[in-house]
Amino acid sequence: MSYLIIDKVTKKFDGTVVLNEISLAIEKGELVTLLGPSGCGKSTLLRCIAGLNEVDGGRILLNDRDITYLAPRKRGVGMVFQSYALFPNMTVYENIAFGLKMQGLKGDRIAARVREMIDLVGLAGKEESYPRELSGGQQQRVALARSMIVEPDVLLLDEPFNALDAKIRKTLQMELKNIQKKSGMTMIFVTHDQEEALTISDRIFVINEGRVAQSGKPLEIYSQPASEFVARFIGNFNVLKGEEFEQLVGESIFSGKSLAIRPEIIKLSLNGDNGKGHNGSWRIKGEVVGVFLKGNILRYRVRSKDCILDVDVLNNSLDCNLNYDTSVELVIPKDEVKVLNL
Amino acid sequence: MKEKKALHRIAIALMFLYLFMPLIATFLYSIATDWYDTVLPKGLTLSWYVKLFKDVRFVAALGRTLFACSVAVGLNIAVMVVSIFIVSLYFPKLERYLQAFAMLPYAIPGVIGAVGLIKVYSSGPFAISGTVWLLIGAYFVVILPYTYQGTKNSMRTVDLPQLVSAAELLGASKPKAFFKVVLPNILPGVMVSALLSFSVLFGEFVLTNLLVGGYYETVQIYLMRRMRESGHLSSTVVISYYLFVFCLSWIALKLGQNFKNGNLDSLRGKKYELPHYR
Amino acid sequence: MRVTWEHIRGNLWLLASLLPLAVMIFGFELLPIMGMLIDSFRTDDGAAWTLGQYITALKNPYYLVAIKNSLLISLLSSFIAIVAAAFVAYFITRLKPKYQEAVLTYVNLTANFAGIPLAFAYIIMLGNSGLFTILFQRWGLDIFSEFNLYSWSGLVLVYVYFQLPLAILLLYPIYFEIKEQWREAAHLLGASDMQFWLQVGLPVIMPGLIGTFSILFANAMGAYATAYALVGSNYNLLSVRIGALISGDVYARPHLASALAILLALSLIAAMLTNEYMMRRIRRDLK
Repeated sequence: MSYLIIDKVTKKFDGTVVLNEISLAIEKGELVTLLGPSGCGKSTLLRCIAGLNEVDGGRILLNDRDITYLAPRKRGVGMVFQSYALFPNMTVYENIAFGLKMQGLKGDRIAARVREMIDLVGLAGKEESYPRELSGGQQQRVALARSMIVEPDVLLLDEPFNALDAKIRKTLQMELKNIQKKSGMTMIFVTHDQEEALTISDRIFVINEGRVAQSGKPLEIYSQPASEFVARFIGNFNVLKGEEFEQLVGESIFSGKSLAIRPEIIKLSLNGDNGKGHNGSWRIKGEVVGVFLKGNILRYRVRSKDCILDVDVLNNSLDCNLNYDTSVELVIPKDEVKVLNL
Repeated sequence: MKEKKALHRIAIALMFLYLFMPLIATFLYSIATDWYDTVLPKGLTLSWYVKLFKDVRFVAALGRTLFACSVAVGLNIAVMVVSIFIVSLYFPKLERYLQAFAMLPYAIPGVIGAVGLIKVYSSGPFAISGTVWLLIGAYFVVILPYTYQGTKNSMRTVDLPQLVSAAELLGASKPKAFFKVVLPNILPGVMVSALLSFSVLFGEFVLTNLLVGGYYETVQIYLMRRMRESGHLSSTVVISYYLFVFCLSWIALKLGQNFKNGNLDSLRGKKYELPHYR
Repeated sequence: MRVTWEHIRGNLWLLASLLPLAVMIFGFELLPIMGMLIDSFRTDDGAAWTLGQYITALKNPYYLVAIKNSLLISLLSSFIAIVAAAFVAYFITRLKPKYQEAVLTYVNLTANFAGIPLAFAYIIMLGNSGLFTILFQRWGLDIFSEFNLYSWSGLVLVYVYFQLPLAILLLYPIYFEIKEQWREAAHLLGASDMQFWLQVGLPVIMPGLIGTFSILFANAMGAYATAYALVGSNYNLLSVRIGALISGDVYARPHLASALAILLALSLIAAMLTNEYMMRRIRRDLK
C-alpha cells in the first residue's frame, strides 16, 4: 500500500467546495509537488494533511495509520511555511532544537543532532543569530532544519520559496532536492510555479478546482498533457482548436478536439529550403508578428491564416535574425501534435 | 476546540458580571425604598430621583458643574483648533513642543497638579485660589491631551495640508480657507473630543476638591458630601451622572462613525480613549 | 528656526493668535510645575533653600508609611489586574471580530466607573451592611463576611476594579503580535498549547506585559478620588497625604507637599519610561 493515501477528501469553506473528493497516493521517499493556480485547493489539502484544517469527508492514511482526525502533533507530519514562522524570541539553534525539546530530549543529545542539521542546510556559524538578523533564504533554511530534525513521516512545504527572489529561489530549489535525496524523507511541495515543479519533483500532481487534473513524472506531464487545462498551465503550449489546425494543414482529422503543440518542437525555415522529408511533418506558411527575448530562449510569434503559434528556439545566433513580417515556414512533426481530453 | 470556546465565553461573561455588578448594585440602591440589612431591597420606588432633582443644592451643583465644564471645554476647543491649525501650517517646527505640552497633563495626576496650582495662585497678583476661574484654568489643562489628539486626528483624516492647498489654488486666503473649508470638515471630529472632554471633566474630583473644595460645589463634591448622609440619594446622583455620560459617549460614537463615513479604524489601530480618573 | 526681525514682524498676527494657548499653558501648566519644583527645595517658611523637605519625606515614618502603602497597593492591584486581563484579553481575541468590537466597547464604558461612584458602589456591596456582606453572613461564609472594605485589602480590591478595564484595553492589541503560524508550527513540532505559550507566546508579549504593568502602576499611584472616598484620611496613602498637606488649614505644609509630589512624579516618570522602552523592544523584535 502506498505510504500516504488521500482518499476522496472533501473540504468546504462557507459552502464553497474547495476540495472535491480529491484522491492521491504518494510513495515513501518521493518528492511530490502539488501544482496548480491560486485557489485550486492545494494549500488547503496540505493543511488538511497536517491537521490544521478539519476535513469534511474522506480519509487520510499515513504509514498505515488513519490520521484523518488526529491532532496535528500526533500525526508525524512536519510543515515549512511560506512565511517561515520562526520563533522570534529564539536563536537559530533554539529554533531548530525546539522539536527535540518538546520530545523531552536533553542537552547533549540535542546538540549533536542540531549540529548535523545546521551543516546539512548550510548555516554553520549562524547558530546564535536571531531570525530578524537573517536573510529570507537563511530563515527558510532554518525553518527546513527545524521541521526535518524531528524526522517526520512526511514533510509538507507550502510555497516555501514564494517570498524569495529569483536567484535565491533557484539555489534553494536545488539544495532542497539534494537534501531530500540525501535524507530520503518523503516530501510534499506546493507551488503555483510550474518551472519550480518541473525542476525538483519526482512526481507532479496538477490540481484544479479541488481535484487532480493529471499526475505523473515531470517529463510525462510536460510532453503529454492530458487536458487543455494542464496544457495551458504547464509550459507554454500552443493550444488550438482542431478546426483551426485543420485549416492550416488541409486535413480534417481533428474536428471537435483540442490540440497542444510544444513551442520548442516547431522548426522554423525560411521559405522552402529545408529539404526534410514531408511525410513526418506538416509544413505551414506564416509571418513573424512578434519577437521576444527570454534569455537563453528566443520566442517567435508567428501568424498563419488566423492562428497564432509561438515558436521557441535556442538563442545561439543561428536562427536569430528573423524580423517582423519575415515569411517563414513552420515544420511540425506529426506525432508532436497532442490531442487533449477536455 | 469547542470546549475551549465555551471556556472563553464563560470567562468573558464572568468578567462582565464583575464589571457591571457595582453599577447594578448602585442602581438597585437608587430605586429601593429601604435596604438596610437585607440582601435585596424591601421595595422599589422612584421617589429618590424626584427628591434629587427637587434638591436645590443639587440643581445648583449641577449648574456650577455645567458652567465650569462648558466654559473650559469651549475655551479649550476654540484655542486649540486655531492654534493647531496655525502651528501645522506656519510653524511646523513648534509641533513637537506643542505635542509635549499637550500630552503632559495626561501623565500628571490631579494631586500633583493641585500642589503646583495652589502654590502659584493662593497669593500674589493672581490670587484666584478658591474661585471658579482657577478651576476653569485647571480644567483647561486637564483636557488638553484629549482635544489635542482629537483635533490632530480630525485634521489628519481630512488631510489638512492638501485641503488648504486646494482651497488656496482656488483663490482663498489661508484664514478664509480655515473658516470655510477646514472648520466645517473637522467639526464632527472635534465635537467628539469635546464631548469626551466634557465627560472627563464631569467626573473630575481631585482638582475640584483641592482647588475650590466647598467654595464651588460641583456634582462630584456634592456627591462626596451626600455620600455620608444618604445612601439612596447618593446612588441616584451616581446613576444620573452615568446616564449622562453614557448619552454623551453614545452621541460621540455616532458622530465619530459618521465622520469617518462608517469606516471605523481597524481594531488594532484604534486608540480607545483611556480614562482619566485620578 | 532662525528668527529674524522680519520673520517676527511678518508673522506677528499669527504669533499673536497663538498667545492665548501660550498663556494658558504657561499659567496653568508650566508655572505650577516650576513653582512646585522650587518650593520643594525651600524651608517651611519659604525663607531659605534646603533639602529638608525631601529628607522629611523619606525619613519621617509617617510619610514613609504613606509611600510604602501606595507602592504596595499599586503593585499588588496592578499585578492582579494584569494577570486577569492577560487571560480575558486573550479570550476576547478568540471571539468573532464583530463580537470583539462590542465587548471592547462595553469594557471601555465600565472603564469610566471610578472615583467616588466606584467607592460608593463598593460600600453598597461590601460595606458593613453591604448586600454581599449580608449575603455571606446568611450563607455562613464568615471569612468573606468579615472582610473589611476599609482596609488595605479593600483598597486593593477596589483598585483592581478600575485597573482591569484599562489593562484589558491595553493588552488586547498586543496579542495581535503573535502570528497564528507560530502556533501551528509549534503544534506540528509536538508542543501542547501550554508549551507554546511558555516557550514562544509569553516571551514574545513579555515586553508588552511589562509596559502595560508600568502604566497600571502609574495609574494606581496617582489615584486619589477613589481612596479619598473610601477611607478618607484613615488610611495612609501618598496621594491622599499630599492632598491633606495642601488643603489642611492647620496642618498645611505646602513645601513638604511639593517634595512629596515631586517624588510621586518621579515614580510615574520611571514607569512611563519603562513602558516606552518596552514598546520599542517589541517593535524591534518583531519587525
